[in-house]
Amino acid sequence: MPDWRKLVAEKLDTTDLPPQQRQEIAAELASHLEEAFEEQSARGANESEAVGQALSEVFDWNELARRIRRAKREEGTMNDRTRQLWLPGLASLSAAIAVEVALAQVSYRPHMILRAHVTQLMYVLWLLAQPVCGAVGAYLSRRAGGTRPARLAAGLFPSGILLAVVLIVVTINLTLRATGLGSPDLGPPNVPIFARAIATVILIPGGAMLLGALPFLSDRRPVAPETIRVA
Amino acid sequence: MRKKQVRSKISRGSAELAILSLLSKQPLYGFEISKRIEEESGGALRFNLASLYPMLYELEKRAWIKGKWEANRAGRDRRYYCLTPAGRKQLAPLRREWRSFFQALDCLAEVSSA
Repeated sequence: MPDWRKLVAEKLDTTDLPPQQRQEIAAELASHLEEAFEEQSARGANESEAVGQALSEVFDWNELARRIRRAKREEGTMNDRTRQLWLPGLASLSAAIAVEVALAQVSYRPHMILRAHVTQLMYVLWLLAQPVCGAVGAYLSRRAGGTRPARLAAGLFPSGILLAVVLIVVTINLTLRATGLGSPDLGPPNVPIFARAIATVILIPGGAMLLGALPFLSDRRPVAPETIRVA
Repeated sequence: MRKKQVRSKISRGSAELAILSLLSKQPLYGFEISKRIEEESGGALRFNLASLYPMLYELEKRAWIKGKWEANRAGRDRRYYCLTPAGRKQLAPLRREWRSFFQALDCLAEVSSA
């Protein structure tokens, strides 16, 4: 028979609950599984079948953990979306801004300005830091029980924000042009330059962030009942 | 989406009523609750571990039920749930709500004679 308490503790990610509460939950769920196992055994199932039947009580351990966390959380604390999307997203954004500020501090020295290779080097360094920003967002979201889309959104949050800002600016710009309210000095939109800017500032960094977020997008899959070792 | 929400609310509400009704008779632990619901509903309602415990914890948070570790006859530690006075107060209006819900459904769709 498996060590049910150990099995529950491994499968159920309730790390953000107080330790005593976690232990109680694990003990309670383990006793339920143990009883389900014994019931199946009493009906004539062999040990492996009984383990499988008991474990079929839970289809998705991540979903169960999420529901338990939500049920156990005291009223008045932040909601799931804040913990799983906005805070990790802001952490990712803060990391991206911090990297940019740090590089700006280094590169914007009088003797370095206007040197093309310095600008390119800084861009590459900035790009290399983006996977870390993406990883921060996705990791924090997963830790808070975020779903895969929430983890992805938290990881790509800085690029998403930038894209939103660009879209707003472009919409305003086009509206001004269309209505004739814009400055007459504005020439026609330079599409190639705009596309290049989008690629270098949003799409490529977004791809780098995605790379960093990838390890945190996969769920820790439940172990199939057949693979549980029966003592 | 809307349809799913309605279904989810119905299922959640019926689960609350089932659990509170059972616990109004005697304290029970989780596995017992799921077995009793299955037996007493003739197998129509079934709660597995994943659906039962989040609901129990939710009801406990609302202070409608209270869990307490006790050893059963076999000497095993089980967490027994009992109805609190606040939970008992909730039971009567919940029953009324569900009765009027079924009556309304019956008038509309003649569910009972179907």
